[in-house]
Amino acid sequence: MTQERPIFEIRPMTDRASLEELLRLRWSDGTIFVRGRLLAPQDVEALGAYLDGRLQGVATWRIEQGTLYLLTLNNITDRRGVGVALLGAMLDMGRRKGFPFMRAMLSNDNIPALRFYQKRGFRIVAVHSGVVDMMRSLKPSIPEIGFDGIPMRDEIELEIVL
Amino acid sequence: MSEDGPDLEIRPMPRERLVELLTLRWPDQNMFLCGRFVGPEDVEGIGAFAGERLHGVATWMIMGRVMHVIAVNAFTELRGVGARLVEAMIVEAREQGLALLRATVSNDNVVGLRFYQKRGFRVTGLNRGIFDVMRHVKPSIPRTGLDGIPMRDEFELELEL
Repeated sequence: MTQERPIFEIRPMTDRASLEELLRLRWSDGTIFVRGRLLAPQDVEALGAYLDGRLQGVATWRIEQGTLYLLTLNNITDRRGVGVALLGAMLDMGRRKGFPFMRAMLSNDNIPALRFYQKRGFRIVAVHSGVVDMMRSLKPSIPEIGFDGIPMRDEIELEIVL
Repeated sequence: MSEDGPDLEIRPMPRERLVELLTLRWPDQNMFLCGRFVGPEDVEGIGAFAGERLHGVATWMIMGRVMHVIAVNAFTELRGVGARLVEAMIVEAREQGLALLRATVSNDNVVGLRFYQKRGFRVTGLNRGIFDVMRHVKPSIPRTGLDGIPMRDEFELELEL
Protein backbone atom coordinates (compact mmCIF):
# COMPACT_ATOMS: atom_id res chain seq x y z
CA MET A 1 0.00 0.00 0.00
CA THR A 2 1.39 3.36 -0.87
CA GLN A 3 0.94 6.06 1.64
CA GLU A 4 0.79 9.67 0.73
CA ARG A 5 2.93 11.65 3.08
CA PRO A 6 1.72 15.19 3.23
CA ILE A 7 4.41 17.78 3.72
CA PHE A 8 3.64 19.66 6.88
CA GLU A 9 5.04 23.01 7.63
CA ILE A 10 6.39 22.89 11.15
CA ARG A 11 7.03 26.07 13.04
CA PRO A 12 6.92 27.40 16.58
CA MET A 13 3.46 28.43 17.69
CA THR A 14 3.71 32.11 18.46
CA ASP A 15 0.04 32.73 19.17
CA ARG A 16 0.18 32.03 22.90
CA ALA A 17 -3.50 32.72 23.47
CA SER A 18 -4.69 30.06 21.03
CA LEU A 19 -2.02 27.61 22.22
CA GLU A 20 -3.13 27.96 25.82
CA GLU A 21 -6.77 27.70 24.83
CA LEU A 22 -6.00 24.54 22.87
CA LEU A 23 -4.10 22.98 25.76
CA ARG A 24 -6.92 23.71 28.14
CA LEU A 25 -9.47 22.15 25.82
CA ARG A 26 -7.43 19.15 24.73
CA TRP A 27 -5.21 18.19 27.63
CA SER A 28 -7.46 17.71 30.61
CA ASP A 29 -7.79 21.32 31.60
CA GLY A 30 -4.25 22.11 30.50
CA THR A 31 -2.70 19.55 32.82
CA ILE A 32 0.85 18.97 31.68
CA PHE A 33 3.42 17.55 34.01
CA VAL A 34 7.03 16.67 34.11
CA ARG A 35 8.71 14.66 36.85
CA GLY A 36 5.87 15.18 39.25
CA ARG A 37 5.66 18.91 38.67
CA LEU A 38 2.57 20.53 37.23
CA LEU A 39 3.14 22.96 34.42
CA ALA A 40 0.85 25.74 33.36
CA PRO A 41 0.20 26.20 29.63
CA GLN A 42 2.29 29.36 29.74
CA ASP A 43 5.31 27.33 30.94
CA VAL A 44 5.62 25.34 27.71
CA GLU A 45 6.91 26.02 24.22
CA ALA A 46 5.17 24.52 21.21
CA LEU A 47 5.72 23.48 17.64
CA GLY A 48 2.72 23.42 15.35
CA ALA A 49 2.31 21.29 12.21
CA TYR A 50 0.43 23.16 9.51
CA LEU A 51 -1.05 22.11 6.20
CA ASP A 52 -2.32 24.84 3.90
CA GLY A 53 -1.99 27.22 6.78
CA ARG A 54 -4.24 25.14 9.06
CA LEU A 55 -3.02 23.66 12.31
CA GLN A 56 -2.94 19.84 12.25
CA GLY A 57 -1.05 19.00 15.41
CA VAL A 58 0.97 20.32 18.30
CA ALA A 59 4.09 19.24 20.17
CA THR A 60 4.91 20.93 23.45
CA TRP A 61 8.30 20.96 25.08
CA ARG A 62 10.30 22.50 27.85
CA ILE A 63 13.85 22.51 29.12
CA GLU A 64 13.73 21.30 32.70
CA GLN A 65 16.94 21.29 34.73
CA GLY A 66 19.08 21.17 31.61
CA THR A 67 17.11 18.33 29.98
CA LEU A 68 14.91 18.71 26.92
CA TYR A 69 11.46 17.25 27.59
CA LEU A 70 8.87 16.50 24.96
CA LEU A 71 5.69 16.97 26.95
CA THR A 72 2.77 16.38 24.59
CA LEU A 73 2.46 15.29 20.99
CA ASN A 74 -0.98 15.26 19.42
CA ASN A 75 -2.97 15.45 16.24
CA ILE A 76 -5.87 17.78 16.25
CA THR A 77 -7.23 16.39 12.99
CA ASP A 78 -7.36 12.83 11.74
CA ARG A 79 -4.65 13.49 9.18
CA ARG A 80 -2.00 10.77 9.35
CA GLY A 81 1.68 11.41 9.79
CA VAL A 82 1.35 14.50 11.96
CA GLY A 83 2.90 12.89 15.02
CA VAL A 84 5.84 11.50 13.07
CA ALA A 85 6.48 14.87 11.43
CA LEU A 86 6.34 16.71 14.74
CA LEU A 87 8.58 14.17 16.41
CA GLY A 88 11.11 14.53 13.58
CA ALA A 89 11.08 18.29 14.04
CA MET A 90 11.58 17.92 17.79
CA LEU A 91 14.58 15.63 17.22
CA ASP A 92 16.07 18.13 14.76
CA MET A 93 15.52 20.97 17.17
CA GLY A 94 17.09 19.03 20.04
CA ARG A 95 20.17 18.24 17.94
CA ARG A 96 20.49 21.85 16.79
CA LYS A 97 20.37 23.01 20.38
CA GLY A 98 23.10 20.50 21.22
CA PHE A 99 21.18 18.21 23.57
CA PRO A 100 22.61 14.68 23.85
CA PHE A 101 19.15 13.19 24.37
CA MET A 102 15.49 14.10 24.65
CA ARG A 103 13.02 12.73 27.14
CA ALA A 104 9.27 12.25 26.89
CA MET A 105 6.70 11.91 29.64
CA LEU A 106 3.57 9.80 29.48
CA SER A 107 0.89 8.82 31.90
CA ASN A 108 0.50 5.10 32.54
CA ASP A 109 -2.77 4.83 30.61
CA ASN A 110 -1.34 6.22 27.39
CA ILE A 111 -0.59 2.91 25.73
CA PRO A 112 -0.75 4.18 22.11
CA ALA A 113 1.96 6.73 22.86
CA LEU A 114 4.09 4.16 24.67
CA ARG A 115 4.07 2.07 21.51
CA PHE A 116 4.57 5.08 19.22
CA TYR A 117 7.64 6.34 21.08
CA GLN A 118 9.24 2.92 21.50
CA LYS A 119 8.77 2.12 17.82
CA ARG A 120 10.66 5.30 17.02
CA GLY A 121 13.73 4.70 19.12
CA PHE A 122 12.79 5.85 22.60
CA ARG A 123 13.51 3.59 25.51
CA ILE A 124 11.93 3.60 28.92
CA VAL A 125 14.13 5.08 31.63
CA ALA A 126 11.78 5.15 34.60
CA VAL A 127 8.33 4.60 35.99
CA HIS A 128 7.33 7.17 38.59
CA SER A 129 4.67 5.21 40.36
CA GLY A 130 1.85 7.19 41.97
CA VAL A 131 3.10 10.60 40.84
CA VAL A 132 -0.14 11.52 39.10
CA ASP A 133 -2.12 10.60 42.22
CA MET A 134 0.12 12.93 44.16
CA MET A 135 -0.40 15.76 41.68
CA ARG A 136 -4.14 15.21 41.80
CA SER A 137 -4.12 15.97 45.50
CA LEU A 138 -2.80 19.41 44.54
CA LYS A 139 -5.02 19.86 41.50
CA PRO A 140 -8.25 17.87 41.85
CA SER A 141 -9.28 18.59 38.25
CA ILE A 142 -6.71 16.06 36.99
CA PRO A 143 -8.95 13.24 35.76
CA GLU A 144 -9.00 9.92 37.61
CA ILE A 145 -9.54 7.88 34.50
CA GLY A 146 -7.53 8.11 31.29
CA PHE A 147 -7.51 6.14 28.04
CA ASP A 148 -9.46 2.88 27.88
CA GLY A 149 -10.85 3.35 31.36
CA ILE A 150 -7.40 2.94 32.91
CA PRO A 151 -6.84 4.93 36.12
CA MET A 152 -4.24 7.67 35.62
CA ARG A 153 -1.69 7.28 38.37
CA ASP A 154 1.91 7.08 37.19
CA GLU A 155 4.35 8.77 34.87
CA ILE A 156 6.44 6.81 32.42
CA GLU A 157 9.64 8.54 31.32
CA LEU A 158 11.30 7.69 28.01
CA GLU A 159 14.51 8.81 26.38
CA ILE A 160 15.94 8.97 22.89
CA VAL A 161 19.56 9.60 22.01
CA LEU A 162 20.00 12.54 19.65
CA MET B 1 -20.61 -12.72 19.56
CA SER B 2 -22.60 -12.19 22.72
CA GLU B 3 -21.89 -9.40 25.15
CA ASP B 4 -21.27 -11.88 27.94
CA GLY B 5 -18.30 -13.35 26.15
CA PRO B 6 -17.81 -16.91 25.05
CA ASP B 7 -19.26 -19.85 26.86
CA LEU B 8 -16.11 -20.88 28.64
CA GLU B 9 -15.48 -23.06 31.60
CA ILE B 10 -12.44 -22.37 33.74
CA ARG B 11 -10.94 -25.51 35.27
CA PRO B 12 -7.65 -26.50 36.87
CA MET B 13 -5.23 -27.84 34.30
CA PRO B 14 -4.39 -31.52 34.69
CA ARG B 15 -0.76 -31.63 35.78
CA GLU B 16 0.52 -33.76 32.88
CA ARG B 17 -1.18 -31.57 30.28
CA LEU B 18 0.18 -28.43 31.88
CA VAL B 19 3.72 -29.78 31.93
CA GLU B 20 3.36 -30.87 28.31
CA LEU B 21 2.15 -27.44 27.26
CA LEU B 22 4.77 -25.53 29.17
CA THR B 23 7.50 -27.76 27.83
CA LEU B 24 6.37 -26.82 24.33
CA ARG B 25 6.29 -23.14 25.13
CA TRP B 26 9.52 -23.09 27.11
CA PRO B 27 11.86 -24.99 24.82
CA ASP B 28 14.80 -24.78 27.19
CA GLN B 29 12.70 -26.08 30.07
CA ASN B 30 12.85 -23.18 32.43
CA MET B 31 12.15 -19.56 32.93
CA PHE B 32 13.54 -16.92 35.19
CA LEU B 33 11.29 -15.54 37.90
CA CYS B 34 12.18 -13.49 40.95
CA GLY B 35 15.84 -14.33 40.76
CA ARG B 36 15.57 -18.06 40.21
CA PHE B 37 14.84 -20.48 37.43
CA VAL B 38 11.54 -22.25 37.59
CA GLY B 39 10.47 -25.27 35.61
CA PRO B 40 7.04 -26.45 34.50
CA GLU B 41 6.69 -28.60 37.61
CA ASP B 42 6.83 -25.51 39.89
CA VAL B 43 3.84 -23.95 38.24
CA GLU B 44 0.09 -24.11 38.80
CA GLY B 45 -2.42 -23.41 36.10
CA ILE B 46 -5.99 -23.15 34.98
CA GLY B 47 -7.42 -23.62 31.53
CA ALA B 48 -10.30 -22.02 29.68
CA PHE B 49 -12.29 -24.78 28.04
CA ALA B 50 -15.21 -24.79 25.64
CA GLY B 51 -16.28 -28.42 25.87
CA GLU B 52 -13.01 -30.32 25.68
CA ARG B 53 -11.29 -27.71 23.56
CA LEU B 54 -8.66 -25.68 25.39
CA HIS B 55 -8.72 -21.98 24.46
CA GLY B 56 -6.23 -20.56 26.88
CA VAL B 57 -4.12 -21.16 29.94
CA ALA B 58 -3.07 -19.02 32.87
CA THR B 59 -0.14 -20.05 35.00
CA TRP B 60 1.24 -18.81 38.29
CA MET B 61 3.50 -19.60 41.15
CA ILE B 62 2.82 -18.71 44.77
CA MET B 63 5.65 -17.38 46.87
CA GLY B 64 4.73 -16.28 50.37
CA ARG B 65 1.48 -14.33 50.08
CA VAL B 66 2.09 -13.30 46.49
CA MET B 67 0.66 -14.98 43.43
CA HIS B 68 3.19 -14.43 40.65
CA VAL B 69 1.42 -14.54 37.33
CA ILE B 70 3.70 -16.33 34.90
CA ALA B 71 1.64 -16.12 31.76
CA VAL B 72 -1.87 -15.64 30.47
CA ASN B 73 -2.14 -17.09 26.99
CA ALA B 74 -5.09 -17.35 24.67
CA PHE B 75 -4.57 -19.86 21.89
CA THR B 76 -7.52 -18.99 19.70
CA GLU B 77 -9.21 -15.97 18.25
CA LEU B 78 -12.00 -16.28 20.77
CA ARG B 79 -12.33 -12.99 22.60
CA GLY B 80 -12.44 -12.64 26.34
CA VAL B 81 -10.38 -15.72 27.16
CA GLY B 82 -7.58 -13.78 28.86
CA ALA B 83 -10.02 -11.70 30.87
CA ARG B 84 -11.86 -14.77 32.14
CA LEU B 85 -8.59 -16.41 33.13
CA VAL B 86 -7.43 -13.36 35.07
CA GLU B 87 -10.78 -13.12 36.87
CA ALA B 88 -10.47 -16.77 37.86
CA MET B 89 -6.91 -16.24 39.10
CA ILE B 90 -8.07 -13.35 41.27
CA VAL B 91 -10.81 -15.54 42.77
CA GLU B 92 -8.30 -18.32 43.42
CA ALA B 93 -5.85 -15.91 45.08
CA ARG B 94 -8.61 -14.51 47.33
CA GLU B 95 -9.70 -18.00 48.34
CA GLN B 96 -6.15 -18.80 49.31
CA GLY B 97 -5.96 -15.63 51.40
CA LEU B 98 -3.10 -14.12 49.40
CA ALA B 99 -2.18 -10.45 49.63
CA LEU B 100 -1.57 -9.64 45.99
CA LEU B 101 -1.09 -10.74 42.43
CA ARG B 102 2.05 -9.66 40.66
CA ALA B 103 2.53 -9.76 36.91
CA THR B 104 5.30 -8.64 34.60
CA VAL B 105 5.21 -7.56 30.98
CA SER B 106 8.10 -6.77 28.70
CA ASN B 107 8.44 -3.19 27.48
CA ASP B 108 7.35 -4.05 23.94
CA ASN B 109 4.16 -5.70 25.13
CA VAL B 110 2.03 -2.59 25.38
CA VAL B 111 -1.10 -4.64 24.76
CA GLY B 112 -0.29 -6.64 27.88
CA LEU B 113 0.32 -3.46 29.83
CA ARG B 114 -3.14 -2.23 28.84
CA PHE B 115 -4.71 -5.62 29.54
CA TYR B 116 -3.52 -5.81 33.13
CA GLN B 117 -4.19 -2.15 33.88
CA LYS B 118 -7.75 -2.44 32.61
CA ARG B 119 -8.24 -5.28 35.07
CA GLY B 120 -7.16 -3.39 38.14
CA PHE B 121 -3.41 -3.98 38.18
CA ARG B 122 -1.26 -0.97 38.67
CA VAL B 123 2.27 -0.32 37.54
CA THR B 124 4.59 -0.60 40.50
CA GLY B 125 8.00 -0.64 38.93
CA LEU B 126 10.34 -1.05 36.03
CA ASN B 127 13.12 -3.61 35.89
CA ARG B 128 15.22 -1.64 33.51
CA GLY B 129 17.48 -3.60 31.18
CA ILE B 130 16.55 -6.95 32.76
CA PHE B 131 16.28 -8.71 29.39
CA ASP B 132 19.70 -7.44 28.35
CA VAL B 133 21.09 -9.01 31.52
CA MET B 134 19.12 -12.24 31.19
CA ARG B 135 20.21 -12.63 27.60
CA HIS B 136 23.75 -13.27 28.87
CA VAL B 137 22.42 -16.26 30.80
CA LYS B 138 19.86 -17.30 28.21
CA PRO B 139 20.86 -16.17 24.70
CA SER B 140 17.59 -17.44 23.21
CA ILE B 141 15.73 -14.40 24.56
CA PRO B 142 14.89 -12.41 21.44
CA ARG B 143 16.31 -8.92 20.96
CA THR B 144 13.24 -7.62 19.22
CA GLY B 145 9.74 -8.06 20.50
CA LEU B 146 6.30 -6.96 19.34
CA ASP B 147 5.98 -4.19 16.76
CA GLY B 148 9.72 -4.29 16.14
CA ILE B 149 10.36 -2.77 19.57
CA PRO B 150 13.64 -3.83 21.23
CA MET B 151 12.93 -6.07 24.24
CA ARG B 152 14.91 -4.75 27.16
CA ASP B 153 12.86 -3.90 30.22
CA GLU B 154 10.07 -5.34 32.26
CA PHE B 155 7.15 -3.54 33.85
CA GLU B 156 6.03 -4.88 37.16
CA LEU B 157 2.33 -4.69 37.96
CA GLU B 158 0.38 -5.52 41.09
CA LEU B 159 -3.18 -6.07 42.08
CA GLU B 160 -3.84 -5.83 45.79
CA LEU B 161 -6.50 -8.17 47.09
